[in-house]
Amino acid sequence: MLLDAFHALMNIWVLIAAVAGIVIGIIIGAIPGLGPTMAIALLIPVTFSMAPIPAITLLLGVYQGAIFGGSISAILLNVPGTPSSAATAIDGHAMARRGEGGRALRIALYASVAGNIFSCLVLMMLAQPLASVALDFGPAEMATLMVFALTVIVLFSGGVRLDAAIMALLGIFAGIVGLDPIEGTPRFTFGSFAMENGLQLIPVLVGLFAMSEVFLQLFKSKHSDAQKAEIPELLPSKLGFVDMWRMRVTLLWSSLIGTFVGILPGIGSTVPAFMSYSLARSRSRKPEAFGHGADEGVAAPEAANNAVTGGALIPTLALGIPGDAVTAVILGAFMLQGLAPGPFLFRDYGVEVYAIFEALILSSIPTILFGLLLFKVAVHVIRIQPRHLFPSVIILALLGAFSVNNSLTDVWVMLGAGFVGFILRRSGFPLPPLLIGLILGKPLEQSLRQALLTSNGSVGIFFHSSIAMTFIVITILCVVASIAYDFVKRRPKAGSK
Amino acid sequence: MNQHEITKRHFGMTTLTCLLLVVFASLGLWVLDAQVEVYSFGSSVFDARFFPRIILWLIVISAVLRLLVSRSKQQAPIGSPRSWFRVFLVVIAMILALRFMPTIGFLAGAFFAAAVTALALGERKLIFCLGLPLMVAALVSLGAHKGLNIPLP
Repeated sequence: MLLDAFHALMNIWVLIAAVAGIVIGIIIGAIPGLGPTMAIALLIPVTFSMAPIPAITLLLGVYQGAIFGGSISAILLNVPGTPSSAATAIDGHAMARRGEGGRALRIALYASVAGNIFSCLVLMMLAQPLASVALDFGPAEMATLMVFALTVIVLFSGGVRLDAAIMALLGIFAGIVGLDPIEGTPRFTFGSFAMENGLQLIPVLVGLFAMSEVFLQLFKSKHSDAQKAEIPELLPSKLGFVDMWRMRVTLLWSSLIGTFVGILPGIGSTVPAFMSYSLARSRSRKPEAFGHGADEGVAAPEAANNAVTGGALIPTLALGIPGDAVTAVILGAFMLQGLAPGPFLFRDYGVEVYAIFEALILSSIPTILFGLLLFKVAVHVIRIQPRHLFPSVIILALLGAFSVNNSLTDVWVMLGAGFVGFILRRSGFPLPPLLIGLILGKPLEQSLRQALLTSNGSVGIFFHSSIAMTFIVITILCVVASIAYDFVKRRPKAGSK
Repeated sequence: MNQHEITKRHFGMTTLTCLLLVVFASLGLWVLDAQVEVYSFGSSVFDARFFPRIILWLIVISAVLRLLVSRSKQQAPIGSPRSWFRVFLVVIAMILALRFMPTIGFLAGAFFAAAVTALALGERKLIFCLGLPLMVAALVSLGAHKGLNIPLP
């Protein structure tokens, strides 16, 4: 299968898609406020007329490029282009201030590529076996798995857990609008035929991530950080293979953390970036250099936040459960290409999926080439003012929402989702749980009701299956661990009083 | 949300959002009973209203809990009327653009929405305020028609 997949890659359009995706990703990622999620959501319409392999390669190239692009503004401006680049900014910007911005960007680039390759190899090894196991799952197992995923997102995604729970519930509710999956009864459609298909994922995504950002920019003051910040001078600097080889253990640990934390739903790439940074500092012979421009302080978070890509794709592709907001968007793109993520994906579209994995690994080469070429261009891109950029985002958002079904109803949905997203973001509510709830809402209801209907309403069906029981036990353990962690964290404070 | 904006206050964005959630979830529960028809297939408990009812009740309960918690916590202020005016200006512009898009077409509608956004963001130079939105709208329309075969209005 790997060889067949490699043959499928031998297509000029795949190469063009990978390069275009990486270039667009680096540029968009470098602009503070435009993350990979928005970039992919806005670019999905471009892929409609493309074959699945180049289409997904383009979007994954955008993802890869945008994560590195985010570190450009983090290092040069101390304004992280993506939240996960915040850890990179600590040492990266310190290096830039002493004229070593070029060296910091090269370290970030090579570490990004190392993290990406490692996580893609793990993805290739783990995704199919996991999908094969999931083929045995019935409605009861699927329902408990989805409840487990949603619980992890609520408990461990950071921030206020009650807020995350409200968002997940809101997402589930948005997911069940439309025809009831068992009886076909219209729910909350208010007589609209177009709404019977429910709220479409892409218009909601575009609204939540692109339109809400436009509204937030409108709400904020007119002067952006990019306008005020001084970009430090990029002095000539060298970074050899030996310098990177010295950091091999840090890169390996960071890639491991990124990949395996990425597998857990909802945690995203910010947490592993900071975890890797802390680990690199604690392992370092010169921990005092961290925060003042240490090479490993840039390499560790960059390897980790890029390794999340492959890790988060494992549950997304094998089980249909997205790991974070970006993979939720990528899941939407897979669905639009007719490649429905889940246990059957590898059985029905194995060649396409493995070709995409291989493209993800091979695109490391253009990432290095274009990363080195583009970071000087990106220095100018990050100066673009929001008032010049966001009117164009509105036009792309209108096109993106319309093009899914060639329907203006979807554009109205996008506008509504954008305003709701704006209110929620202003209030400090996290959007990823909402998005994952939206994706899991309908399948969760379907699995739950199917299980209960087949057991004549007995909840015993969830306790008779060993797989379902395992998920229930793990879910309870997660809740207990989370409460215990809170208790331990608060104890010293209580003692100090 | 800007960290600088967070202040301790009893009525902020979190309170407003939670209140809206309680109101809309309660309305949802009413709509569920009033408008969603139910057909009995075997067990009548697990009908079309079963799952949404649980979710809506959970939203109401968790939003009320959040309201109680937010009374003693820091939250973002509602914001100045000027800031809200800019947001609503663009929302209204987009509503108008969408309402009339079937008549005036995608190009004109998208250009109008983008131009109003540029103005609301503080752009005053004609080239950026009108020229750039027109150019982007024209390029996107052309690309969608010729390249992607999307039948734009």
